[in-house]
Amino acid sequence: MIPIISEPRQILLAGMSFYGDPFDIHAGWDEENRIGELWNRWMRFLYHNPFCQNLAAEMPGFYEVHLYDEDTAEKGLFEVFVGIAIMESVLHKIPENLCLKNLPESKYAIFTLQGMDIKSDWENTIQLSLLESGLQRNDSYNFQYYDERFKGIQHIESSILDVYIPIKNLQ
Amino acid sequence: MNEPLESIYDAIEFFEDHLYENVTVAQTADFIGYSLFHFIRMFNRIVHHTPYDYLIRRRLSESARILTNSHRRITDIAQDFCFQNQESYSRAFKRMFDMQPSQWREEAPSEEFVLMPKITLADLAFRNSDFFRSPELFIWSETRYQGLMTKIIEDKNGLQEWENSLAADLKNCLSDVSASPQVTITFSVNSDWRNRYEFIGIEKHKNQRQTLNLVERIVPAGNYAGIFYPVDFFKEARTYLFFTWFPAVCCRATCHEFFLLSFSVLSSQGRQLFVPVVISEKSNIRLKDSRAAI
Repeated sequence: MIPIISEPRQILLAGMSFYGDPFDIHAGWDEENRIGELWNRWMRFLYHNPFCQNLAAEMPGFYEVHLYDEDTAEKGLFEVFVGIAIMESVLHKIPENLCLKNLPESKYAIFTLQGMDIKSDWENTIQLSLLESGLQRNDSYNFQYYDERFKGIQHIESSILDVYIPIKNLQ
Repeated sequence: MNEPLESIYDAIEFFEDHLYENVTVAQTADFIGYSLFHFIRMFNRIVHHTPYDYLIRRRLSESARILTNSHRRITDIAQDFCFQNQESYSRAFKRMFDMQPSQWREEAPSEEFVLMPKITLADLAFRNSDFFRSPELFIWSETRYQGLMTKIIEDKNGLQEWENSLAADLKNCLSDVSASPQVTITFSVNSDWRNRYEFIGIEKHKNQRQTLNLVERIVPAGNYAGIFYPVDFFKEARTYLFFTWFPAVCCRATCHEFFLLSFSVLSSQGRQLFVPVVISEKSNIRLKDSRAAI
């Protein structure tokens, strides 16, 4: 798997998050685990909020960010954030029940996953690819980018998504 | 045996080898060659515990054994099992056993069905089989049975033979030759699973005459957790109920009057084990009518 390397970019996101083990209630590939619940909560909010619907239309695509801390390696707990990209100019208009994430300026190694690869241990494959490419990842977060190419978990065979791994530098 | 099941079992063994040593979930994922994210997902799916929850429950269970069987200081036991200090150990201990380590040492309660055993390959096979169905909670109405009863001496290889032999004798005693034993009830004389009696019987309907050479036993009304199991997986079903499902839904096994410990019902849907339970206020699981169970 060979990544595309992006130009440095800063990304500002608005959305909702969850902290813990996302599979403690259900570990299947469906919407019943905590990540699925989070997406459902976020989509319900979006459905009832025309202002955020407009924002989503301006900068299409959804983000699922995984953020790691000291409890991630030890206990398997981490934060999952889902949301949309926003411009800095609309920050003051973001509803109070949303969280903001500022992903600092970084280059990204972008891996495109397709079909059943989405269900595989792609993190492992990506890690090997980064090592082979001499790329050093920033271990504190990564994110998945979903757009019209992703057809839903029930249609995984025909779905495509991008995984963004922040990288520190090229050796 | 499929590959993820074996890999996750390797992770369980890795945890078991490190109950007394600091080990992280990430190191365990690395040991079996999985990424952390994939490991957490697969472990939850196959074991039905989070990896960290499994490790902590096993450490607490082994530490409880040492509390009972040694004079080692509690603070040292906490350190042996990698807890930061005695306070965090006591907090975790109370969450799992509903008592402080010092109280546990004083009372030395029965360890069976309290201390979580190591999950075995057979446990994983049961949890991931096609016949596995998540347990449910039922409100049971009082039911009377008549049948035969025996003391269980050995619980290892002979249990099924006892059951078959009792069931055959019961069939000989019944006037209705088409009737088949429907229920197996486990009683004890002192709420201790190690000292128990097995009863095999059929439902006794209202106004039905008592057959002279049979005894009558009652399953009292109350709340029961029920789980389906194939006959070869009784032990694994019981382990699942007590150590995985009860903590997840905030309820615990209890002992009804006459020290009824559990009973199994054979219905058209298969064999189902029922255990009397106390449901915590924190539980949000719904109770079903027992008629839905059978």
